[in-house]
Amino acid sequence: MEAAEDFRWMFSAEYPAVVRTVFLVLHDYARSEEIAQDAFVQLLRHWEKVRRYEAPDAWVRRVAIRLATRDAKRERRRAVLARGTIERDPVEPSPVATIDPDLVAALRRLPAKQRSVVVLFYFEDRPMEEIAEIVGCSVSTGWVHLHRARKRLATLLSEEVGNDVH
Amino acid sequence: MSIDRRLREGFRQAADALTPDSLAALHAVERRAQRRQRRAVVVQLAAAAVVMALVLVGLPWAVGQWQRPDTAAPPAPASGLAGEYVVDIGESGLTRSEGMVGRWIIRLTRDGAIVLVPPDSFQGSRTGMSYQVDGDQIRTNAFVNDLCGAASSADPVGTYRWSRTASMLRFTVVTDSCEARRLFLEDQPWEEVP
Repeated sequence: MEAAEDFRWMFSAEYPAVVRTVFLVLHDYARSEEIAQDAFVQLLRHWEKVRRYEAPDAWVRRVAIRLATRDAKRERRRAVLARGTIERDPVEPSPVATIDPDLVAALRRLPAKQRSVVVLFYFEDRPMEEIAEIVGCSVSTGWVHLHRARKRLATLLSEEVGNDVH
Repeated sequence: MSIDRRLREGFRQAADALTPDSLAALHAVERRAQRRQRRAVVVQLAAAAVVMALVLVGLPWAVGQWQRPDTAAPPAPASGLAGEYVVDIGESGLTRSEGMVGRWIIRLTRDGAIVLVPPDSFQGSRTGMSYQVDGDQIRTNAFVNDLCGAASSADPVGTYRWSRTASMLRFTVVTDSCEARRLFLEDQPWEEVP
C-alpha cells in the first residue's frame, strides 16, 4: 500500500479514538481536536519510519497523551498562579458530553498524569505496561498514580473504593 | 456504585457522545504537514545561504588573521557574571506555594557553579546547579532537582539573555518551560553585592 494511502487509512481508524481519549483527559473538545491533530501532524512527518513499527497507533497515542498532559499541567499551573491554590480551580461545564458533570469536576482536580493514567486504564482498557510506556513512567509508578487517583475520586464523589482495581 | 464502575460508565457515555469529523481533520492535518514541510525547506535554504555568506566573508578574514602576528588578548575569565547577588522574590501563587518568597543570595562561581542561600521558607534542593555563559546568553539548570526536574514537565535547562548595568544583572527568557526558574530569573533584576 502506498504510504499516503496507508496514512489516511490509519488516520480514519485512529483519529476519533485519539480525540476521545484526549477529551477525557482535558474536557475541552476544541483543544482535544487541536492536540489530536498536532499528534497526527507529527505522525505524518515521521510516517516513513513509524509505519514500519509494530504499533503506529501506540506512537501517535503517546504523542497525543504527552501533549495533553503538558497542556493540562499548563492549565493547572495557570490556575495555581492566578489563584494560589488548585483547590479553587473552577469547573466549567463542557458544551460537549457532560454526561456526568460531577465525574468531570472530580477528574479535573486530579494531576494531569493521574488523569491520563485513569483514562487509559478505564476507557482504553490498556494494560499498565502500555500505559506506563505511553505516559512515560515506570509500571510501579503507573500503579501508584492509578491508586491515588481512585482514592481521590472516590472521596470527591462519595463512592466506594476497594483495594482491587476492576 | 464502585468508583471503577462509575469511571468506566462515565467515560463510555462521554466518548460515545463525541463524533469527530475525521475527513475534515485529515485535510487539516495534511495541509499543516505540507506547510510545515515547506517552512522546513525555506529554513534549510536560508541556513545554507547564511553558511555560504559566512564562508565568503569569513574566509578572507580568517586568512588575514592567520597571517598577522599573534597579538591576541589573554583568554577571558570563565564567566563575566561571576560574583554575588541578592534578589527579593515577590509574592505569587507559585512562589508562595514553593516557599520562594523573600531574599535570596546567589553566588555565581567562575567555574560555573551556582551557590544559593534561599529564604528559610524554601525547602527545596539548593545543590547541583550550574550555569554556562555563551556570549550574551546564559544556560542554567537551576532548580533541576525539584521545581524544574524530572518530576515536573519542565525542561531541565533554560536559556536566558543577560544584560547588566553597573550593579544590576537582568535576565530575559529565550527558552524555558520551567515557571519557577522564570520567576526566579526574569521577574526582577539581581543586585550585585559589592
